[in-house]
Amino acid sequence: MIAGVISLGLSGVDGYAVRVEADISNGLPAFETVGLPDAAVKESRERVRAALRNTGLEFPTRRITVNLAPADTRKEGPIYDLPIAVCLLAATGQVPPEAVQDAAFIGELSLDGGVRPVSGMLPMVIAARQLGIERLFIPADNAPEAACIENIRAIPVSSLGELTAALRGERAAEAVAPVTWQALRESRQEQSDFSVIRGQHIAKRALEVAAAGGHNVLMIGPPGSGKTMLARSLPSILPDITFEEALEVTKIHSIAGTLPPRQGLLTTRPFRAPHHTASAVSLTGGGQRLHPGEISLAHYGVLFLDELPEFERIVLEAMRQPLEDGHVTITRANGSVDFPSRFMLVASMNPCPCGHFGSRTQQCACTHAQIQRYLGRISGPMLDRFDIHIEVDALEYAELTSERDAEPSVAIRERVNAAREVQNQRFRDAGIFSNAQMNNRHQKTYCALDEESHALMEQMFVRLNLSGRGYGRILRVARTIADLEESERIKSEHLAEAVQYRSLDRKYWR
Amino acid sequence: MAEEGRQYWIWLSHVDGVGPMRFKKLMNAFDDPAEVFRQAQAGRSMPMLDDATAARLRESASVEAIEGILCALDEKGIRAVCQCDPEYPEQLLGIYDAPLVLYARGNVSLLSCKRMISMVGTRQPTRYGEQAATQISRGLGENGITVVSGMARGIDGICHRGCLEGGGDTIAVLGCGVDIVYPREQQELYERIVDRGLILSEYKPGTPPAPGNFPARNRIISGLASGIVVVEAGQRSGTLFTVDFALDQGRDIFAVPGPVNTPMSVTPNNLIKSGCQMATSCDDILQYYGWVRRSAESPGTPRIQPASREEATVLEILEDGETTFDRIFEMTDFSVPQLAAILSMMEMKGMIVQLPGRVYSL
Repeated sequence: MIAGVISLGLSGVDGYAVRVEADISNGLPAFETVGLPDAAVKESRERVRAALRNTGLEFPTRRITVNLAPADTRKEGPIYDLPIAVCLLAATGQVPPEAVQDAAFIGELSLDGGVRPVSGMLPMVIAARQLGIERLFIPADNAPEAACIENIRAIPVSSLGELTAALRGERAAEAVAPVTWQALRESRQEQSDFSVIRGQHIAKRALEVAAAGGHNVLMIGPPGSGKTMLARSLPSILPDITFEEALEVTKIHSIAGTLPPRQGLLTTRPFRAPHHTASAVSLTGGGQRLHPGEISLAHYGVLFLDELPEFERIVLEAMRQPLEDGHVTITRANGSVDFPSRFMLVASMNPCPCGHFGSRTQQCACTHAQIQRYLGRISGPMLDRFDIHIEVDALEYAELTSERDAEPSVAIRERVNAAREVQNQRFRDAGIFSNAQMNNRHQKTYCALDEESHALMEQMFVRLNLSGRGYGRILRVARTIADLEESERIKSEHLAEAVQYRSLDRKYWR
Repeated sequence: MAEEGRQYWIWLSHVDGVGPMRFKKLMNAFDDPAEVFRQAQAGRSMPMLDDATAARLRESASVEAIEGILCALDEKGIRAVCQCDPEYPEQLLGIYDAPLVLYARGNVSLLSCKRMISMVGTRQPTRYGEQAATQISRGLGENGITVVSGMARGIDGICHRGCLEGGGDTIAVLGCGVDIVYPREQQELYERIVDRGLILSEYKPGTPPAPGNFPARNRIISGLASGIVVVEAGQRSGTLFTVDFALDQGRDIFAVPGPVNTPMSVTPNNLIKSGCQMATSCDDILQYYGWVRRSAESPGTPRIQPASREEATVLEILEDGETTFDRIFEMTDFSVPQLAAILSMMEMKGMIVQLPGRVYSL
């Protein structure tokens, strides 16, 4: 007796079809799984055995061979519990074999026959749709993820008993109702709004510019000055995420199992804040199962590195190349996967080891050499990745009780969205999306300065002791400021403002 | 060159262990460095010296050794000014333990300046101290007074820079050889001083910056000048050594008063309490000595007139003291981008400066 059903597997962020076959033959009772299963797949026989028995179904006491095809790729995780159980039921005639014909199954079993959720559902549903699968049985808890994909019948099941009833035709199999992107978007909630941050006017403006142009930001300030709070509020002013972007981001989070429970697509851009003890692998991705790292989880969102100099140098350097390329290829002995990593890097640091250099209220106790060593922990090429540097100082009482109204995030986001639209139009044929991605060639085309601005730029370099490195960055940031003002040309006031966001180029830091 | 036999002075100053005190003993016995050389060459015993120093003296007493020393100095472009030379500053000659030889790089003619003021202070100044030091040293520079200091971090370096900015001459006295830049980060300043001022040391070229050298060089800093200005110094600062030397040498002491609540004001404020001259601008110093001001303007650099109403508004706020960006924003009705642009332009025109922590100041 033989039966086979379709299931799915994951390779990087993409799903692929896996055919699960079971052969039941006479011989000594045994259960063999072939097709490069990992430990979790091998253990599924115990779960399947118990689940079948506790659902009141029969587990055949004969020689069982399960094959997972293609036989030469590694199968991981507990998602094959459900397809294996269905194979056994079909092979023993407990469900009609024709009912499982063009259906696919994904799910983990618990010993009592319940069906538990699995990670990586979204990419697998997308793959199932591309493979033309008509019916897809999934764990009920994964239904919200599947609901985002149209043109596929995803049927949620919460137990093995429910599934067999559906397959026998004793009970109607109801597919999840698709949820529109619009409906999802409306359920969006912001955690932290800019209007609750008092003072910090220039820092907020700098973040607005950064959000509009996708620029990486470095915040420098004493402990307790509000760097973390500013960074946490940043997602609320980032441009709205599009459906395609949301799909891509959710896929990654689905694989990593970091989706919030009961949530389908992510409707806000991700914000990731790994602790400074993070290892290079946890940041870039890898490990035994080739998991996406923090830089991929922050795809289309923000990666916030608090206390940047405390991160190990090797960790920071490992991030440099993906930061530039927008994706990372992780290669290990047992395979190679490609994860996207187009994120905005926001980092914070103290100005010196004691944190009080430049403070108006506290005396810095660090020697010059200590400060230099502290700043030296971040390599020059790494510093070069930051277009915008902001100095954040602790607030005074007067600022805490400031009279001037703080703008809500929604109003800022509107401007940011508009500026992004301008960039989308401009870069349509250039193969980039934002001002931050411009290279020298792009800058020549899109950041042309008129004579007045040119003269100003020259003067600024002489008078303000700017380093040559900063030239291109100031241009890019000025371009974004011009976009925010809906100005075609980069005017001198745009350049003048951009200079304010280059603190580390200033002489007193060197 | 002035006197015959100045090479023997240089030779003596190159022998380890021979400082102003032992030199005096040698002079009491032999009257002349050339005579010391002849005695040492002949291998005579030197009862006034300890054995080790005497042995070193005898060992190095050869014509070849002296030629080697002179060649090395020539190669490095270092001038040696001996006590017997007419360039040797008279003021310094008068102190109890005047150095035998001064090694110099730069403009040696500065040694004959009659108007010299030393400025000393902490290596970790507050912003107030930095501003006071800049203001006074620049004023002195503008009025043709030579500013002497030690090229250390903090107040020392600021005073050299301020004086150069004011168009004055400046002398840096080091605690190591004149060919060694210490601290390293003052490289740029060192080059500027070699170019436009004078680097001075009593230590032979190549001497590393040993901690013991620094208090001793302070006597030269105070000894060269008519008076010393103490800008900021903590309670147990090395600056106090310089003050002691200045008192011994009979130099005038000026102290710049500081806010009573910072530790760096303790020494200058105590000095004022015990009767030192108080200096709040370079005018106080000029008047004390009866030196005439070169320019008729009010103290400090001339203000650049605001070009627009916006700039005038910002200037008015900054007149009351340094302020952060956010404070200025609160006090005006500019938008953030507007204010950022205005401040950049004002910085560029040199009307204001930006300090760490996004603080703006006149």
